[in-house]
Amino acid sequence: MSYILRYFQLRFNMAAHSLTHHTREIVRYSFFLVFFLFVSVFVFFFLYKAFKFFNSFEIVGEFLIIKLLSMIFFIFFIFLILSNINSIIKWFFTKNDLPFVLTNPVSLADVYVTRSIEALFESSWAFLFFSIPVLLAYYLATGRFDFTFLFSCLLLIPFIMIPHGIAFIMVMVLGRILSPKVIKNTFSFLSLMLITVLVVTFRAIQIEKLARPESFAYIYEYMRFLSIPTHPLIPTNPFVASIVYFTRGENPSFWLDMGLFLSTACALFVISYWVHEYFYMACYTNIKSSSTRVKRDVLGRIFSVFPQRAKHLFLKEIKNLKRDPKEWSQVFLILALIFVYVYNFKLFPKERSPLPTVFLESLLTFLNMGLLTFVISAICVRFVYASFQLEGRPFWILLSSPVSMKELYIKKLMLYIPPILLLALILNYFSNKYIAPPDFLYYVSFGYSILIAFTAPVISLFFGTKDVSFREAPNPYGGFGGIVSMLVMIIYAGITIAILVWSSYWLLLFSVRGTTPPFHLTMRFIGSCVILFVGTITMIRFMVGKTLENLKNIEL
Amino acid sequence: MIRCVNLSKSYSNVKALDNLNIEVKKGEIYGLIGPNGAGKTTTIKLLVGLIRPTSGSVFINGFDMSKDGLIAKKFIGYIPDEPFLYERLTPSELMDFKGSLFDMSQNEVDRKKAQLLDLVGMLEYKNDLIEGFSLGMKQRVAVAIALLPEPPIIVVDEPLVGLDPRGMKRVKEIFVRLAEEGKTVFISTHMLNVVEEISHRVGVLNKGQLVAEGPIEELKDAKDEKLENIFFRLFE
Repeated sequence: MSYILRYFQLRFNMAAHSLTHHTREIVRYSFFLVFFLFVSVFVFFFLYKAFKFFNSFEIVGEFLIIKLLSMIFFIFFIFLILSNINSIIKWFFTKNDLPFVLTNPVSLADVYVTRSIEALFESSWAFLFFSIPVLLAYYLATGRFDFTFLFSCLLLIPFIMIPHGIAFIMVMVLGRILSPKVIKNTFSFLSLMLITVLVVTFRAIQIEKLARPESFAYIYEYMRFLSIPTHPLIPTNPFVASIVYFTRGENPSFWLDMGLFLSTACALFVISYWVHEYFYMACYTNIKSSSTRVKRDVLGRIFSVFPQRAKHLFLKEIKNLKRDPKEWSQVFLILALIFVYVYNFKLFPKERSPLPTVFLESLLTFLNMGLLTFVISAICVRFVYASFQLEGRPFWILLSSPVSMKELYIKKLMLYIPPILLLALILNYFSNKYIAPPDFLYYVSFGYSILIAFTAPVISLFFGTKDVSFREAPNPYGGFGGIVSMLVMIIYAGITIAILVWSSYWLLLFSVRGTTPPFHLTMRFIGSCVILFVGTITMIRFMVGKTLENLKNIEL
Repeated sequence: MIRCVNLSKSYSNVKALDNLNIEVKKGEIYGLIGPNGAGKTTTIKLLVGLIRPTSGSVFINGFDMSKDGLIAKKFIGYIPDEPFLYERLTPSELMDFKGSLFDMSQNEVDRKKAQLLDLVGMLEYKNDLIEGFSLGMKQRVAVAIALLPEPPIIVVDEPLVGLDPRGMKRVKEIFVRLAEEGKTVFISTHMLNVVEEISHRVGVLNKGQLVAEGPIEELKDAKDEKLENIFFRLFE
């Protein structure tokens, strides 16, 4: 027990030291806290409205609420298993301090408890953060808010222990035959596939139909819409049943459900410990993966059209991406997002809108530009923002070679801009196909797509090279700087779109009527385009200059 | 070939290197030794341009690293103490990459890479991903990529870390052979026996300052005195 206490005391001291000595850390954590609070408030209001809406149905309302609650917690449950797998592999197999801990007289039980708590917290804090607003929305919408809300919140602790236990047993048993790295890659791939399938499914089933129950021929169809696995042994079912009992008091099998739920959590904790005691050390020695032999270099032949240096700089980036299943499988997620993006416009009921067609088409076109910015900026943060940080410690190879940072920067832009431009144009083409804007707006949105495809990578690299540290583990998802760069891109897009709306709308009306617009309106539009172009070029020049300065100041 | 003039480097308030003056000639093996925190790695990093000096200059083959870094770097092959390599590339791909950075033609790279990988005993692994290699194997790949552009100067930080006895012997032989071919080798290490065995001249660094320098024979009080004894004498 003393080791466990000392361990967490040390961890607490490290966190306190980090916060008291690094103002940036405080700013970073405060920013994330505000961001997550904002998202959880959004989750609360969204679900409150949904629960309220369901509650207004007689007879089936309560049933629909339970179905939705079960669906939410079932999805959470699946994601908790997958995120626990990653955290368990990290804390039990790949953390740098493990050789130190395991070569000291620390019992396996202490290792199990400390690492399990770490992995459990790391994989489940976001769930706790978002599930409390879900429960609060449920209690308030059903008008049954009382002290039992606290019991429901307390039940979240055994809830997170169940996926942790399942993930732990899976990792240890698979760890006997596969290396943790293979397990991690496989499950990361599966997680992404699952997210992809969920994104596509949610969109394809047209979840907005829930708001229009009259669009279903039978009530049975409506309920089938919300169907999820309902076997009593699926842990989310007794959990939701217990919460329902707290609010309604109408569950005859409450004690059985509660007993089943709590005993499953406790049993999994104990079984995990046994599995840990039996398998852990054998699995730990299985960490080292064997070499993988590369047979053919197809990419090398494809890129042979480029000059030697550019070819190998591009190949290095692409091979790093291609040989990591976690990275390339994200392409599926991007494809799913493209599908959802275009499908949204396909399903948009333009004909039912009370707004005049030209106004609606303009509105949709400009909205499309905003959404396009959001998608492009998210992709830039994921792939471009972190591209220097992801070089990691092997960056010495580049820094000690006769290659300038300017050349490296230009090559990165050359590599990333074409696919981003292609993506922007594809999204723009297909969404406009369904929006069917007038020709004039079509060209405006086409020009905007090109503009954003060139500007977004520059903004990403500007923020991605600020205080880049190759000693720290790279954060491919951007972190604090990534969010800031995304916000800057969105602000830039907001200003650009506002200027375009202001300068082009009246011009558009004249063009639709087939009459010649007054000279001052044409000049206003041309002037705005010039201002936008000059403004963007000035911003790009400033950012390129600063990025090169950042790169020149890199020391290893 | 290498000249450090009044070279200083500070990190915040800590002076890691203080007015260092070193000159290493063509065909010479220069060993830089010193206790932990003496400034050896800082010196090496300044020589290869991984960090910039607070004051003073590094001249590589007459080119100032601060002003003409891109030219100066063409003359250097650097082997770091920790061989961090692009793990998802193979040694063969890494050598192609390195060759392209030094503007070598693909034919030239192809011709040299087999020869070098064979020299460091890694030819049979040339198409395996580096992520599966041990520390010693990575170190040998680092040696091979440093030698690929045939640089006239080799700068090495702790060259034998992670190598098995056969690997150590092989790497030492490579350095001696390179010096015989007229190349300059600058080594920083804790392994005094290695410096004693292969270096022509030694520099002893302490708290960022050069406290002794010269051929080992000149530093010795007695003819059969070991470098280890000189080291301890200097720091007592």
